[in-house]
Amino acid sequence: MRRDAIGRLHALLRSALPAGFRRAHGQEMERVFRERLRDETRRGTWRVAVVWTGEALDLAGTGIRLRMSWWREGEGSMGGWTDDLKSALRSVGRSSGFAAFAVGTLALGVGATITFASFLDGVVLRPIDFPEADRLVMAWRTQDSGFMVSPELSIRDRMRAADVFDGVAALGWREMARSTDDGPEVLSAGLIDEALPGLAGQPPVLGRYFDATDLAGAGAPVVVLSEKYWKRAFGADRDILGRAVTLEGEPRTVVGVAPEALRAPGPGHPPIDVWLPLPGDGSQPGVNVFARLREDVTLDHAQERVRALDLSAAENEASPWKTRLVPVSEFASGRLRNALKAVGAAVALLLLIACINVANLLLARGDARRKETAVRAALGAGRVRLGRELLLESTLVSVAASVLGLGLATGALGLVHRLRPESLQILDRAHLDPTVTLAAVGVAIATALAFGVIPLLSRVRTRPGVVLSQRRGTADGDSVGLRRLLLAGEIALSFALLAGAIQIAAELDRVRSRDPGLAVDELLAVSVRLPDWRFADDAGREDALVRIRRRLQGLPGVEAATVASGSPPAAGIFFGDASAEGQPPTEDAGKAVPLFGNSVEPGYFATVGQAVLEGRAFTEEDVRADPRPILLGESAARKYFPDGGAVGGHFRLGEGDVWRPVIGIVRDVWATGSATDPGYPQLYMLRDEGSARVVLVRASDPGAVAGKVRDAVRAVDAEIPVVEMRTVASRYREALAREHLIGVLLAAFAVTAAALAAVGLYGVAVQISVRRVREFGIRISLGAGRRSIFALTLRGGATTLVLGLLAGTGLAWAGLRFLKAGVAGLDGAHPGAFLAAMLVLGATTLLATGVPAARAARTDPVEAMRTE
Amino acid sequence: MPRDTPPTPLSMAILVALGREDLHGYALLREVEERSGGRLSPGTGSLYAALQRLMEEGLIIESPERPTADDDARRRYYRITREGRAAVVEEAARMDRLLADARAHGLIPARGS
Repeated sequence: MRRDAIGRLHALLRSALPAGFRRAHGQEMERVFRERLRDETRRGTWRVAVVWTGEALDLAGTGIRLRMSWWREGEGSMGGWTDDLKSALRSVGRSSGFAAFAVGTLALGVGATITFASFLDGVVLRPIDFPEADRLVMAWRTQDSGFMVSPELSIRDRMRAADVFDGVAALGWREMARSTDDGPEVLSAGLIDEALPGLAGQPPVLGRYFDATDLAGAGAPVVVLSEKYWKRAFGADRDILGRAVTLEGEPRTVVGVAPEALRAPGPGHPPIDVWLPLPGDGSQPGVNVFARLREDVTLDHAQERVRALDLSAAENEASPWKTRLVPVSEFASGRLRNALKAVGAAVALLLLIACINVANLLLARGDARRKETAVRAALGAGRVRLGRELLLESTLVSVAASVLGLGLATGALGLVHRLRPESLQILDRAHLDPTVTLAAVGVAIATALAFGVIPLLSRVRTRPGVVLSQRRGTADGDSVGLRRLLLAGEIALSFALLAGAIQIAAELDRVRSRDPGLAVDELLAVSVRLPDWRFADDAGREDALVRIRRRLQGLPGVEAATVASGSPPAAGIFFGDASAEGQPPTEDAGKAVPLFGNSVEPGYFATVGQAVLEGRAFTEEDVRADPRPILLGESAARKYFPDGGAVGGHFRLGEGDVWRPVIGIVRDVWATGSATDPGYPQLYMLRDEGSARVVLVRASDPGAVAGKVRDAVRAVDAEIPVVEMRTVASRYREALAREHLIGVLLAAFAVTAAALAAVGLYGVAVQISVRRVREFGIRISLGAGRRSIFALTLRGGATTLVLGLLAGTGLAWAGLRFLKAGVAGLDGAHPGAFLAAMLVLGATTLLATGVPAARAARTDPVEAMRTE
Repeated sequence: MPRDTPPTPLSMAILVALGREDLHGYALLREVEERSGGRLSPGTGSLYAALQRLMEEGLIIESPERPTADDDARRRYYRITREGRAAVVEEAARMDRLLADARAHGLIPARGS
C-alpha cells in the first residue's frame, strides 16, 4: 500500500495499539478508514475533522483497553494464588543468577533511598526534637554586612515583651572543667533559663530543672546532668540527686537529670554534658534565644514587631545591629540543606537506574521465556494466571531487595556516623526511623512493580501459535528497541552523575591545593583552659601561658611555639567601622565590618610561617608601646591605603578606637578555610596580657610531638585541661568537610550507577548476539568478514551510547544548578569534567559490548545453523 | 463456547449484521451504523478489537470465499459460525427474559396497554 499523508497519519495513530494487533489488522483498518473518510467527505468537507478526531480517540482508547483486557479477564477467579506463589518461587529459584542480580541491583537503589530518606528526615525535615518545631525561631543580631552574631540576654527580655510568641527562652554554652581524681575533665555545659525545658517539651528524667532562686544565683550552686553524662560518669546511679559535682573548682549539688532529647539545636554545638542555670545578669556573653511563634502570627509579622521594639529601645537608635528571626529548621540544617538536595537528586537517579536495569532484565527474561509461556498458554493456562504469576515474581524480587536494601542502609548509616566530620554533628540525627523506612520501602516496591508491569503487558499478549512457530532467528525488534531506549536513559543518568562527581572532585582538589599562606603541615594547635577559679588575675594567667609555651618549646622535635587567641582557619575576627587616617573613605565606611585576623605575640609570624611582605613583624618593644602598633594583611592594606603607604600610616576600628601605627604588611592567609572565602581583609594585633588560649607549636612532625603535649601541660599545672589538640592542617580539612562528604557520596553513587549501566549494556549485548547467532552464521557463510560481524554488534552499543550521552549532557547541565547550590565555590561547568565522564562511559560501553561482540565474531557458521 | 459475560452491544450488532451475509470491514461498519440509527459508530480500533475477540471466541471466522462482484481481492470478509448464531439466540433469549422480568415488575408498560 502506498504511504501518503493519510496512510502515515493513520499508522502513527495505530501505534497506540499493541504490535501483534497492528500486524494482524493494521492494513485492513487503514483500508476501512479510507473508505469511511471518502464517504464522509462527500457529506461535507467539515466531516473530515470529525472523522479524524473520532478515529484518534477510538484508537487510543482501544490501545489502552487491549493492553488491560488480560487483567480484567481474571476478575472473580481468585483461586490458585498459593499455586501461583509456589510457581513464582520455583521460577525465581530456578534462575538464581537472574534473581541474585535483580535483587542486588534493586537493593542498591532501595538502600540508597532509605539511607537518604533517613538523612532528609533527621537533618532537614525534623532537625530538632522540640515540639511544633516549624513555629520555632531563633533570634540573631545582624547588620547590613549580613554577619550574624548571638544576641545578648536582653534581647530575650525584649522579645518577651513583643506578645507575638508563645514562649521565649535562652540557652548559652561554655566549657567547664570538672575536677576528678584523674585530673581535670573538660565538659560542655549548657546554660538555660527556666523557660527552655518547657519550650523543648522535655520533662526531667530525674529530679527537677532550675527555679527562680537558682537563676538569681541566690541559693546553693546546683547542676543538672545530661542523661548521657549521668550514664557515662555515674553509671546511671538513681541516687545521684543531692550529690556534689565540682565544676571550675566549685562544688555543685545535682538536682536533676535531663533527657537526651534536651539538646542545643544547630550544627555548631557539641553534645551537652551538664546543664547550669543561666545567670540573669547578662554575664554570659552571647546566648541563643529561641521563641515559638504564636499560632496566629506569621514570621514576617513577628519580625516587624521585634524590629519595632529594637527601634524603640533608646540605646539602640544609633546601633547598626538589628534583631533577625530565623526559623530554627533553617538554621539547624543550614547549608547542609542544599547539599542534601544535590545528593538527593543523585539518589533518585540511582534508584531510577536500578529500576531500569531490573525492567530490562524482566524484558530479557520475558523474551527468553516466550516459548515456556506460550506452551503453558497452549496447555490451557489463562493469560491472567500467567500474568499474576509474573507479577508475583516481581513482588518476590522487590521484597527480597527491600530486605537487603534495609541492611545496606543500616550499614551505610553506621558508616556515615563513624566517618562524619567533627563539625557535622547534626548528621548523627539521621537514624532508621520506622515511618521513614516503611515509606522508602513502599516507594521502592511500588517502583519495582511499576517497572515490572511494563514487560508483563507485552509478554502475556503473546499468542501461542505465533511464538511456537517462530524460529530463533533475528532479534525481536520490539523488545530490543525498548531495552535500547531504557539503556540509553541509563547511560544518560550515569553520565549526569559522573560529570557531577568528577566536577566536584576537581573543584575540591582545586580548593584543597590552595596555598593557605602558612606552614599548616608543621603546626599543632593546642588549646588550653585557664579556669577563673584557679587564676585570680591576668598576671597569673599570663604566667601560666608563658610557662606552658616554654615547656612545649622545650619538647624534643619542637622548633618554636607561640601563644595566640586562635588558630587558623577562623582564628579570630574583629568588628568595627575600620578606617585609615588621611585616606579616602571606603565604600563600607560608617558600618561595622568584619576583619579576619588574630591577636598574637612577637614571634608569631616566624613561628607559623606567615610572610611579612613589607615593614617588620612585632618586637618585644611593641608590647610596651602606646598605642600598640598593628600589621595589616595585603588586601586590607590595598583596601584602606589604595595609593600605598600603609606602613607608617595609621589605622583604627571605629571612632572609639585610637589611631594605631601600621608597622608592616603580611601575606593574607586563607582566613576561613572555606571554599567561598573571597580573601577577607585581615588585621593582626598584639594580644593583651593573660588573654589568648591557643599555643601554636611548630615541629617538622607534629604527630610525634602531640603525644607529649598533655603531660607537658600537666607538669605546668595539673588543673589546666587541654581542651583540643589538632594539627592546623586537619583544621583546614575540617573546614571543607561538608564539600568532602558530598564529593564522596556523589562519587560512590556515580560509580555504582556507571557499574549498573555497564551490567545492563553487557546483558543486552550478550542477549542480542545470542539471538542473532543464526543470522551471523548465515552472514559468515555468505562471506561476511568476522570484522564486520564484530562491528555490527558493536554498532548497537555505540548508538545507545551516543543517544545516552546526548541526553545526559542536557541532564548534567541542568543538574549543575543543584550542585552549585550544594557546593560552595563551584563555578560554571567544566568541559573537562564532561569529557572525562564521556571517556569513562565510552570505555565502559566498549568493554560491555565488545566482549559479546568478539564472541559473536567467532561464531562458527555450521554450529550456528544447527542451533535451534 | 461458554461465556460468563454477555457480548457487548457492538459485538452483538456485528453478529446480527453478519446473520444475512458475509461482509467486509467497511460494509460491516456501515451496516452496524445504519441498523443502530447512528447510535453505534465505532472507529476502526473498536471495530477490529471486537472482530478479533469474536474470532478468538470462535463466534466468527474470516470467510474463505469472497463475492464475485468484489473489486478488491485483498479485502477480508467475515462470516458468522454456528457458535455465533447460537450465541445470538442465547443473548436474544436472555434479553427476552430480562424484558419479561422488567414488565412483570412494572418497570416497562405491558404490550398493548
